[in-house]
Amino acid sequence: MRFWAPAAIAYVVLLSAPAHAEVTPVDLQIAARALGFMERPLSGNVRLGIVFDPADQRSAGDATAIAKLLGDGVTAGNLVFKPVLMDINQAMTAPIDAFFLPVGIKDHGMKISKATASRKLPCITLNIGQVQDGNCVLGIQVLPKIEIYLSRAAAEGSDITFVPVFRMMVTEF
Amino acid sequence: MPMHRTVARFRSLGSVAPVRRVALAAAILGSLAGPQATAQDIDYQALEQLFGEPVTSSATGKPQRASNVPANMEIITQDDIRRSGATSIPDALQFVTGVDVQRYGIADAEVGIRGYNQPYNPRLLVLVNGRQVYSDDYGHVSWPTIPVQLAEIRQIEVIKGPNSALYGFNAVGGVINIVTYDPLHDRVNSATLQGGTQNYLGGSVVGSGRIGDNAGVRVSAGGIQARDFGSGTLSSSDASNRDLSPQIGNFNIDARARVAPGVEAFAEASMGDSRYAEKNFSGTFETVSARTNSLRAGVNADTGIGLLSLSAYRNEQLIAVTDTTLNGLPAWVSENVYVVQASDLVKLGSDHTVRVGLEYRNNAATAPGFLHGSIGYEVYAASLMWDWAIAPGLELTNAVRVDDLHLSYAGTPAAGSGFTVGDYNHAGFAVPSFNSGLVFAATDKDTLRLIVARGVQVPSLVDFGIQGSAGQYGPLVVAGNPDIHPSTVDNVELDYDRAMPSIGSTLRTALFAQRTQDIISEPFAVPPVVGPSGLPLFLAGNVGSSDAVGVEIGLKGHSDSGYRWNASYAFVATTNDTVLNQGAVDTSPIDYAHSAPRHVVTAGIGYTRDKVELDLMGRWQSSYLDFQATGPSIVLEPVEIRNYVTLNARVGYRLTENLTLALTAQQFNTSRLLQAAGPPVDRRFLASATAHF
Repeated sequence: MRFWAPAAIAYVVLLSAPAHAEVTPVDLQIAARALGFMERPLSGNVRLGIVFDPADQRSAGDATAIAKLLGDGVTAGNLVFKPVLMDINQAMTAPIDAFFLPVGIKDHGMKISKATASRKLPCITLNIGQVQDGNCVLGIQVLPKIEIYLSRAAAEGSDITFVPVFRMMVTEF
Repeated sequence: MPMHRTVARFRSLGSVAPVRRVALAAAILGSLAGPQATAQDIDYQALEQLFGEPVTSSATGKPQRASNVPANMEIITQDDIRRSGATSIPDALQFVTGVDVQRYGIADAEVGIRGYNQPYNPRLLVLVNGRQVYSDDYGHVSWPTIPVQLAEIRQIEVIKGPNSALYGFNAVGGVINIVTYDPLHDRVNSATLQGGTQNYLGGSVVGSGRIGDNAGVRVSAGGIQARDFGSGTLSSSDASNRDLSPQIGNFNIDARARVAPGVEAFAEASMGDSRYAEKNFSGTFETVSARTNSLRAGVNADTGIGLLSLSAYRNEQLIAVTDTTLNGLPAWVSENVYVVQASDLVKLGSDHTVRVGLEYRNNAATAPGFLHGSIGYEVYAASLMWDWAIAPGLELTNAVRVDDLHLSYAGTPAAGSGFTVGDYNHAGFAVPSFNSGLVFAATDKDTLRLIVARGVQVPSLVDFGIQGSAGQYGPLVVAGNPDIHPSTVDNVELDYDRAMPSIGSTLRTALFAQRTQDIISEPFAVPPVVGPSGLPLFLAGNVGSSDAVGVEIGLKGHSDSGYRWNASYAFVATTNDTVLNQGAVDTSPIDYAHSAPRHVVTAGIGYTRDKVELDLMGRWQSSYLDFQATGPSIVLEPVEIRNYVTLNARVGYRLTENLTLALTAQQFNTSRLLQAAGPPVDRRFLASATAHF
């Protein structure tokens, strides 16, 4: 892949969700189904930590809007995502089962990366660049065609493995 | 004479010394591996829900979304099948872009892809979950004997063009891979009863269930009886050979169990008993009684070195032919084929997926009348598939396969043919095939697919070993040809797909060019030579070449308000360069330049609201040329099948949560229609009740 890195980066930049991209329940349903292909899949109620930066009012607003959109939860397969607002500074301790990295959280990828690796928790985002940088395990794109991106480094760091058939169907970085 | 040249070339391939064969095999085993469509080893439903489109693993062994497959594949889903009102698999195929269905009776149809259709079409590979269901005797498909009920089909994958390296030999015109529901992951329980015109009565039952948490079983059974279409203008000989009361019955059981973490075992068994009239390879009609059965077992294991698969199956069939022109000849063929397949599919790093595979095949056909004994062959095959994700949106797949075939014969060659048993037992060849597919997602809406492939069609057992001594068919000698060699089909293709989310549609286009070399013909069609006995010798052989170019354009979509639509146009122009039909009379139904319509337009519209489903489908095709017998001889006459329109419609109504009623009209626009050089096809009306439980 390294020989194609410039093209790959350009391609991913084109595909990356814009900063103002809005999360929809469908994004989370796709994410939930994707997590069903983990070797040790999550199931039941899963507390989804929606990350925000308290120093950035817009970030807090985005996270609140996403949590409101998800309401009591989003169900897909055997899993129900229960939204929980999570301060980026509490990434190491907040009582959650998975991270959701909104597009607006651009400068805290490393913090999340360390937290997911330390806590062995999956991270989901619509910002494919965060996946390519190895900060987040799963990237979801729904329109115009569903695409799933997987960071091998982030997955290995978090001790998360996916079944082989899933890995063969997604784009791995 | 072309025959001599081809034989000489064949010998250069077929005379590989045993030692070299072993070395070749060892080299292949050491470095290559083979893909074949695998059994169900993925949870299709979960993956389809995730990606929002059909998923297949048949092309490369690895699971892929239909839009990412490095071949031209169209998928007919269970919903498509139900809404079509089809009562058979050819019914469901006739509205697929680039597929040609020639109907020779209520149970008999020939299916061709991108032209090249003919009676007993040997250019099509048909699989059920990766198990071959075509017969090696003539290399053709008896659709009624496929032991699958329509209700248990998850999807029918139509792969166009040569795909031998991906699917196995005989995948030259294309592949039809029928994928059934997985007994471990899918629950399908239904019973259907159908009745209609032509005294049609059909029924099927499909049941599935779990055994504990880690095993599942699916059982199906079904059958039909009907009054076949009248013989129309067929010769008296053909008409008398047609039994007009087809009866078809099939049973199947599939079981799958998770025997250890990451390890699944499966077993399948089927049997069938059918009797129906059909048009045979020589262009004349007969009635066949077919008893078939199959057994298959295997295991798939997710290991540290990849996904390992091992499976073995046996197909067995006994065919009895009723044909008054055979003058009391013992008219039966028993046939079996054993196949063992092993493969390893592994993802290397983030960008490379490799599949290596090996296959062993052993088949034999026994017929005292037609073959004067038994003929069969062993094939050792190895193949390698390499899928390279060059960059996001750019993927290259290469596959290569080598088949090493060894013929064997036990019997008495036709007197006067000049062949000995040793000639047959020393025959064989090694033949490679390949597929390359570059898939480029140019934008998030546009996908380009460049495909280059060579497919291989192996001669059928009858081509290798049919025997007819002087007097058996008249003052002539008929012989299979141990020196016949495979036909090859080269294909170059450029596809362009465009997603049109604004209108909920997808546009698919294809532009292709093909060259078929060393076309294989059955012996009766080939100009005879003077045999060693001084009598005319009819010898199966390689008879020439053919080129084809074509274009396909299709649009398919649906709306949230319940509408769905599709429209397509397919064009194929084919040339002939053969030694067939050059004499005073025609003897071969092979005339590729004219034997399939050049232009085909299909269109369909449907609507679903609450409890009602409405569908209307139409197909127009231009004229083409077919052949029919003039009498009880091998002399054929061309029959122009004029361009025609056929319209089908279905109305379904969900009476209760568990019971659906449907009315289907097939060819409702005209009462009788000549669709091929056979009996005119009658308009049909069918009513059905389906219970889901």
